[in-house]
Amino acid sequence: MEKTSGRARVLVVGSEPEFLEMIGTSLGDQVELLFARNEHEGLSMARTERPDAILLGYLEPRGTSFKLHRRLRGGWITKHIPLLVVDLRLPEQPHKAWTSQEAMQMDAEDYFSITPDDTASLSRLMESVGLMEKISTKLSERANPLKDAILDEKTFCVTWEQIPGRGAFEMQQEHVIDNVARAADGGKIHAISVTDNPGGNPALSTEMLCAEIKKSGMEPLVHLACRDKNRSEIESMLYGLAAEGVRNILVLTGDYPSSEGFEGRPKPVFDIDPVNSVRLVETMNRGLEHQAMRKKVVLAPTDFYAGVCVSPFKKLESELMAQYTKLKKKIEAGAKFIITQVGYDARKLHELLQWLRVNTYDIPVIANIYILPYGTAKLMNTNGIPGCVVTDKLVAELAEEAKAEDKGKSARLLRSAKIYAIAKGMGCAGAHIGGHGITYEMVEHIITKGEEFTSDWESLVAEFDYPQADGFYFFERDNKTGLNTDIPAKGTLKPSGPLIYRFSRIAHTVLFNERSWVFKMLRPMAKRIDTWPRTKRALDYFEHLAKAALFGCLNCGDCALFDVAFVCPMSQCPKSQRNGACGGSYEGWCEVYPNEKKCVWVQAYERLKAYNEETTIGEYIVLPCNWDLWQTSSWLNFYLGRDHTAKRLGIEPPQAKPSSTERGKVTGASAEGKP
Amino acid sequence: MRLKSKLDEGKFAILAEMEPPKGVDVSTMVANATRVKERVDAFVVPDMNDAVLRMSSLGGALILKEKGMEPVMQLSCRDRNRLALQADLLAASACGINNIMVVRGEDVGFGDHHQAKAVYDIELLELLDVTQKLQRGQDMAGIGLSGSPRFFVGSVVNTAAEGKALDLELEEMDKKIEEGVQFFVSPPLFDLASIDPFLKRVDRRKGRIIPTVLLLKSVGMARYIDRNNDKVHIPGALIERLQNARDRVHECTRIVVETASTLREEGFGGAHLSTVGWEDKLPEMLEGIGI
Ligand code: SF4
Repeated sequence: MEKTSGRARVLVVGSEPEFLEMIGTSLGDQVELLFARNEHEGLSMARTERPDAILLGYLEPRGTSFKLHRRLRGGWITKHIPLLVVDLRLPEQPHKAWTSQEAMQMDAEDYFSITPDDTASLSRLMESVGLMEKISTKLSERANPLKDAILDEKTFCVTWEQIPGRGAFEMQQEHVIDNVARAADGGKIHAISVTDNPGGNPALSTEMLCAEIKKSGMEPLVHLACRDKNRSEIESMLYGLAAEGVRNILVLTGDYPSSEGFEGRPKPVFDIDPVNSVRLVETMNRGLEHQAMRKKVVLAPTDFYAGVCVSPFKKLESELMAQYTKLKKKIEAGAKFIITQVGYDARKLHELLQWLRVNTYDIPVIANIYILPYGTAKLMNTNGIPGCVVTDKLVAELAEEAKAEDKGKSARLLRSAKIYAIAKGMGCAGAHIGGHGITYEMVEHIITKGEEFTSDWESLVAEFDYPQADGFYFFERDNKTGLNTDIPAKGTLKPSGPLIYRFSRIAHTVLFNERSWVFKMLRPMAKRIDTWPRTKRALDYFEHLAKAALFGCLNCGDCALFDVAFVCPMSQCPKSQRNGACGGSYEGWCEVYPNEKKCVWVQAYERLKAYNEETTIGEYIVLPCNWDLWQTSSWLNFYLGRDHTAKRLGIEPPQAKPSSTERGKVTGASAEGKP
Repeated sequence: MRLKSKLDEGKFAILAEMEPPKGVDVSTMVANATRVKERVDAFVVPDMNDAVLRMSSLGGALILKEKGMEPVMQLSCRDRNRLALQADLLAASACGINNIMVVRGEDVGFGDHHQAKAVYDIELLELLDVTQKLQRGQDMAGIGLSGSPRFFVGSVVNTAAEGKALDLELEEMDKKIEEGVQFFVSPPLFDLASIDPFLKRVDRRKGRIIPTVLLLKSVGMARYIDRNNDKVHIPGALIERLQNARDRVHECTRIVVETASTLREEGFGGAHLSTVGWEDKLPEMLEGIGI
């Protein structure tokens, strides 16, 4: 938990006035002290005040202190609070201390036995036993090794990706645990990341594995895919992780569910996107507020460190811009670090760093190093693994390497080490190493070799020149380095403004401008219609019919057409992405319908470009769909200040009248309430 | 008599402390002991360590014996007069419990019944003398027994003694050996250098020395012992190691493994593993020591 006052808050528990006084005088000016004089008070204050540390002295009768220590250590909240046991051994009452039998069962971060000769020396005594120092080391122990590694400029952070398998007791899980143990012993890896239902297939849950990894002393990084969990499930998973002390998460959209689910393809959830997930995390970090029994409750803040993904390796201007605009929103939402998608073009990796620099975003980037064998490369080359880019040239090189006696293993590791060097040289904060059947020794090899190469990274860039045919780069090429200048390149994309788009724009400007006279005139009518159930239903029906014909509307009631240039993200995007494209698009096609349907964000970009408005794409964060509004008229919801657009524009709901969604509850209540 | 033959042959013996329950549910004790029965040479059943009430060591030893394990029954002078002590010794031997370890017993003030009357009717050396006598077929009053017991006797030695105290300790050790003591268990040992004065002067051939290897479970516990038990020295570096450990539990067991391994290399008689509540970690530790 973050300290708010800047000073550590320490709860002092003890029944002896001498003890409380001694602590008060010797520590009072350094920390904020809270006092509890008996077991009950101690326990309840530890729970409600959540101090940074607890000093547990003697409590009457003998043995009580030990009992309380047990309860604190067993408590859900209190087990996370550093506990320091203090025996103030007064000569006239030697028994007022822990017995050695109790001490054998002591589970405390430290113990102090203090014999006061004279009161004046007490504070010195306290210092001499290093009490304050101990408290502060305990406090800093809560620091996050991954976060420290990412933020420390002298450390190049390395994370190693593990892929849990399907099943509870399979070899894949054993491998993961073995790798973690090796990594923990080796000491070169800052975190182990565990993918979340990789490839959209069910697998042992990342949160379970990560909690296990945490216990083994390694820092885990939980992948959190928005594919299989709705916002409540995400929140609840996060609470579980917080309680286990797992704080690092990587928020991503997730591949589309695979058809290998039980009895067929599972329902894709995609309730909230990564942008809103990061917002959720940040809200939790500040202390999430909610209503319980009509009272405002503020939850204890969590301490998550959330990163996001981005792919600079996209081919089309539209695709790439959809990535960068979404990244912008992720950063604004509070993302703390970035991990890139799989790609091997050094200029593209540099482009991301340059883009961040030009936009003055100070956020660390971790470069993805996927140790690429020939087979996987062929798959990636043909869009077999969503979002991973391997060009023909690279495949050809790998085909050559695969002919070697070791089937190209040493060449793969060498390539990975070179990417490591390039990433480090370019100014990435770390590397995210992944690959199938990788051992710790290989990872360590990459690190060692990579470090060797780093001083010479610029000469390696030429080896990683893998442009896609007609691929778009955000910046002009820097011919000296083979990387990028900071001059934005001219767009190559052909705009396209279909008739329906032109029509929708006009209709929108006329009907949905909150400052127009039309709006002011129609709003009272909207209010009235809202109270006439039949008319309301008719309007809803009409709206749905028209919008279904024009946009494939699903009648979500929280319309985001306007946010995506009138391409409905709820019905036309299989992942319901309301804030920008997922990472899976391929040459402009949707991940789920390659060569069939264009990604909605690609379409939106083309449309906006027809009006020279492409830079407005993703200007603001779109809130997740409010399912309160499901199957209601979005027009009414806009006019009556209920949908996300109304909220953004500051359209207030009219004076509290029972809303459509509260129909059931409200009629029930008023029926009873009426005299 | 696995313990005796191990020590007689000069092999490294593993003793594991198994505290009887406070109560009558012996299932945990039995389960913990059973799990390592192949690897442990004998289980030391303490006689109310730290004067905290528990099932008697005779009872605890008997239960382990019944399950086919070899116990070492501890016997302290604190709670019984000469009649009761002799009676229990006879009972133990008759039930097949032949390993005993004679101790003085901590002050009742340390325990959970500090109003209890400490007995100390006879002192440790006298008790050892009695054990010898019983084995010769006589009780303390010189009256003949029908059938005499057989014991393999151990006791304790303070390896941390220095200077004058060390002289006395060595003197007492000799006396104990004269009274038939064949192995000595030391207080918890973490650092061989700390008992250097003792090691320099003791004649290790006369009695096998089995240091206690105590499992430290938390920094708090370690500091308590270091601060309040003058027979034990815990190096600061070790405490720091615990403090900085990423996986504390693992580090704790690792320290035990390292200490016990050193003892073996240094030719001690064995190691007395005291796991104070974490007996379920014994298999892991024994594995580490290579037993
Ligand atoms: S439409 Fe775009 S954002 Fe949606 S799933 Fe397809 S590729 Fe991803």
